[in-house]
Amino acid sequence: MDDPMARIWPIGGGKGGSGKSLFVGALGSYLAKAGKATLLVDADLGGANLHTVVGIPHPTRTVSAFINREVDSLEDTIIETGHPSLFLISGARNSLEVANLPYAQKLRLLRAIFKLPYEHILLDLGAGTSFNTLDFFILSNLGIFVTTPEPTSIENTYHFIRSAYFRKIRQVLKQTQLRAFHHHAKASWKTPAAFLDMLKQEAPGRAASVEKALGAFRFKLVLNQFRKQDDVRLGLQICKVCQRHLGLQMQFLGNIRFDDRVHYAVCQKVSFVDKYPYTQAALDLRAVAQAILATEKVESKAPPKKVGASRPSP
Amino acid sequence: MKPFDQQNYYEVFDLPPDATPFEIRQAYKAAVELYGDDAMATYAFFPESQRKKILSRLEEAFLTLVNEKARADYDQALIRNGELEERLRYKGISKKPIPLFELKSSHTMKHGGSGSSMPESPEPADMPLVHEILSHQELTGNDLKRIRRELGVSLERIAQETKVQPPLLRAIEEDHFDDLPSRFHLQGFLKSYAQCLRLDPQAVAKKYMERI
Repeated sequence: MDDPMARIWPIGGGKGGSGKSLFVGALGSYLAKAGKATLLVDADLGGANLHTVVGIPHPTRTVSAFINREVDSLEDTIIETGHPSLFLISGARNSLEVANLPYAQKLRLLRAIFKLPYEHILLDLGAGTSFNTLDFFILSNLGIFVTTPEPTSIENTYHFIRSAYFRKIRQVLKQTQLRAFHHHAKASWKTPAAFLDMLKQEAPGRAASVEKALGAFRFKLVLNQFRKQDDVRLGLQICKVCQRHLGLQMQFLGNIRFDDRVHYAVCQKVSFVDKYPYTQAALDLRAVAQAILATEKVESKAPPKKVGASRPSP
Repeated sequence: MKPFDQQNYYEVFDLPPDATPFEIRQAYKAAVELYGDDAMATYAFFPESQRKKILSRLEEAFLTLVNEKARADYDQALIRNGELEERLRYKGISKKPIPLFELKSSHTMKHGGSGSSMPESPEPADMPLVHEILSHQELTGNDLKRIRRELGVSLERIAQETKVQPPLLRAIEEDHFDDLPSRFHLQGFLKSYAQCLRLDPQAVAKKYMERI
């Protein structure tokens, strides 16, 4: 899974209503406009509505068809959007079974996503920290957190980060090994650092591979619904805390200004950035899209160890 | 990366070991904003007890580093542990503020070769040729010119310093008495000319004026 055909950007953040779907729609629109073949996947299996914000109120096919084996390949569920480079796998009207995907089905879906021939695949994740959501999120190292500058949202984001962190540990250590460590110190599960310390003492070899897997994350952070009285330093502070206390690399992509017109666009079931392209929020979204395209160049060329190592030596 | 509770006082603030007291204050302020009671960025990130522990450690680090004596002791302890090298330690040498004008002149010195302040050593009056010329009873324009050349100062520089027009200075050096202003003004010009070359203004003006 180290060399995906597409760059997969899982977009999550824990709290509902922080604007994940809207962000995915807008980001996809800008990436497609930059000439990149882009696929949006609505991975919010229990509460899909990505199709609405990209302006397709009644999608003809959904991911259910793949999960229920009505079609042979995931590609058959892809639908076109208004833009020639932008495509969508909708999750509309998924059944109860699809929302609570069994493990084997989930694995089949994740593998199929990996094989899709697109330059960028954006995964719109649902709220909460269910295992389904977390597994989609750690599918790639490029997870983007969308949060709002409010304590509730930040609390959920930290919970999400921590959950993703432990889910990754669980993925690296197989289930049985994990259980062996579990009885050691229940208290140490409270803080990830304490858990890693415990692991280092008990099994240094395992700790190294866990640290390597966690260090490979290149998380991004976006602060959405940013109002002008909010603290502009907040985004960088959050990244700093995660880097310092979790050892997770996190890059701040920018603040996106709150805009009432987002609501109007959603109500009209049209894409916000197409309807209001010159609002501050749309410009902020475009800047974030450009930052993502820029990191793409750096990270795909540089060795994956250090981001800063991309400077050519004389 | 070292876990936070094992980092030394400089590392917890993300500071180099030679950080100035000012930088330490700034870093402490930023850290309190990050971990403080009202901080949004760390809200719900830590268990409350851990956050309090971090805060008290930050305070302890700050109080050590802003106290000159305590900091020196702490540095020595770090050096003994091999965590710090003596040469990287903060020595309390802060740069003295540089007056804006001196800064400007040192800048021109570097690039123009001759600065606004005249050659500093040796004293012009101690130089053999200058001394010999100055020992005359009278000073001609040509004498002044020779001294100026000996000191390596251009006429333009003197004009710039004294705010006397170059044609006037040239008239002084070439003894064109008809082009010179009144005695009163001339005396003033001669004095500033001499001052510029760090000669005795009174004597130079007097010896030049003798001949008119």
